[in-house]
Amino acid sequence: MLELWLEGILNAFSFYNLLIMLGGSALGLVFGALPGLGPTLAVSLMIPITFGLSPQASLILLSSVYVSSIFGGSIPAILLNAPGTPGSAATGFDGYPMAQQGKGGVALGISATASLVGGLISVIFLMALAPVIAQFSLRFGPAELFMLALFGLTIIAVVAKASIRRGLVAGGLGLLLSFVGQDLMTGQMRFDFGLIELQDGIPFILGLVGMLAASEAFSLAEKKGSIARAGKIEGNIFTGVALCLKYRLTLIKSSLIGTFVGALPGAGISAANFIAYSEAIRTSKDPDSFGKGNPEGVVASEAANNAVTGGSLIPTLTLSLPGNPSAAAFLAGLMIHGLRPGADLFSVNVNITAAMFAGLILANFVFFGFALVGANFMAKITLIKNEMLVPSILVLSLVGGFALRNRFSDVILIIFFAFLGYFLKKYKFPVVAVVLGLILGPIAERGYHQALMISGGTHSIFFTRPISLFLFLMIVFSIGSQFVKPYIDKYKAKKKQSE
Amino acid sequence: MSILLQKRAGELVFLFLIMIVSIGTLQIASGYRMLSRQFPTVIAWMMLIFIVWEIILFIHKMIKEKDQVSKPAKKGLPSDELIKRWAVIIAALIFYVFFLRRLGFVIVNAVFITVILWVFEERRIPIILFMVLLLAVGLYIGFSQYLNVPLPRGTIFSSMFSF
Repeated sequence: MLELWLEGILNAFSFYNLLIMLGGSALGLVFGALPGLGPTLAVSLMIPITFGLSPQASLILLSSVYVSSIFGGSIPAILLNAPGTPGSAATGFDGYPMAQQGKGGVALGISATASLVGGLISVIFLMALAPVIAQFSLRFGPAELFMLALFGLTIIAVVAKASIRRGLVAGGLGLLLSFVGQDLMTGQMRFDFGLIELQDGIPFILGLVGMLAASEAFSLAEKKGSIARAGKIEGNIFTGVALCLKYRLTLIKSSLIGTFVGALPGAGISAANFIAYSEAIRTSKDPDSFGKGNPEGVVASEAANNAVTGGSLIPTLTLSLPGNPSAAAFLAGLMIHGLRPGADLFSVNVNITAAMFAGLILANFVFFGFALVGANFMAKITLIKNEMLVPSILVLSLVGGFALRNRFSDVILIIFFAFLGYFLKKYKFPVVAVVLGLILGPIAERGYHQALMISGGTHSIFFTRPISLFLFLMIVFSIGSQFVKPYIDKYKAKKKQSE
Repeated sequence: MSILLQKRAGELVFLFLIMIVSIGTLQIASGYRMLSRQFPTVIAWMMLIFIVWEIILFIHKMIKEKDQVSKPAKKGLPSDELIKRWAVIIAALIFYVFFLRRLGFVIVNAVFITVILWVFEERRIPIILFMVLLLAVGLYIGFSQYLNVPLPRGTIFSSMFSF
């Protein structure tokens, strides 16, 4: 058996496979960086290419494309506030303010390092604990997913610094937008106004691109200068690498969150991203600095989203249950080559599995290498004049919106979200809350209804299942601490004064 | 548009718009089946309560600060320049939506980019040409040829841009 493992690992290091990995990583970065494309499309498009390749080479190609495309999404999120993938939405919350401070290169360094660590930790878990985690993830039923989504939504209380009321209204707006389209539980069309284009619902990537990227173009149109306000770049990628390693605890915690949430079928990469980000805020000594360029925010978000790659492959490889659409595409690639998820992958075909694991690990280093080479150059985007950036961001957002489903109506939706995001920001409503509502709304609603169907309509299901109860207590603690915190701060200040 | 550029009045209009959305949601959701209306109804009520609360506080604040003259929202650009830029962006976006299907991605984007750059006082022809080549032609070729994402060729000039 050990020989087969070694054979597989050595196979991954062959010149041919390394070349495939380099090409796959470069393609993955492009797919990730362009809004509207993303990892699922990237992996899906690679499947026909793998027909002519050996199973090892195929899985190495798919792994490198998958891993790199997720990191690729953070590049425009940091430099232009335009997340390339849904999983990098939270990266822009602190990455973009860093870019505005001239620290785009530093933020990219943090992002690359956190992604590398997150990716590696998740692969280690995939290799060592796949069957155990896969079994545990099956205990996550609808009630747990509902509580997990609610837990993610509690971040609204944290991000709504200016006014909790406006935060809740913004979150509500996001939730309402997530209800547009056919209700999968009842088949009822909701808020579609008779328009066929709205019957499939609003993909949250449109909201992300419109409210974060295109609306930013509107804001830039009102100012002269460049994104880097001081007109110069401070620090470089190596500063970012060093800075990232200072947040070791956040790095590991977010990687574990990403791995675990990634392993939950139906939770998705964006949920992992936001949960890790909100957890970083909650446990930070300086939560007010988040959203203003706190490197820890980038660390949390990026470690979690890349950890999803390994996490999502855990149920995929062991139970044939893909953790997200990209993992589903990966599963298709696996099966096309006659590989069946389950025990066979870890016994009969272990040489292929070993090559894939080695490929996943190497792919993380490859995109890290690409980042080291290119980040300082890419950071110069933040020095380009606003006048040039406005049409560029608008065109990229519009084409990204169109490319998602090849629909003209999506271009209109992007414009709608751009104006919505612009006015929300202008009047101090946290746009993050709308995005959160849009992403977590469907998970929460589906989980709630399915749980009630299982329990026969009684709400006790949410409090009698141990994981669900634990998550509920976390929610209570999380919200309660926000209310209690001002009093504790007051008490501490008083105590300090008296001393 | 100009009313929304006036921060105070604009903000109040925006708050009222959200209130209308909340009431509208309640009205529309009331016609849905029980399971389908549960979540939207709860969310809309929550929004309505908080937005009304916010409006009351906002008006109270406005009355208190009535002596202060409302100013244009952003500093940096003179208001006439700001209005010009906004007018052009809105017109360019309307053009984009209406002509994307007919004229195709390349032409619509070329016009869109040129107009915005020109109004934003970027008059150097080589720069404009570079941007058009990169963002209109480059993106079209990249998406259609290499990323397998077909972008609209335009019903009028489809044969001209069949790469």
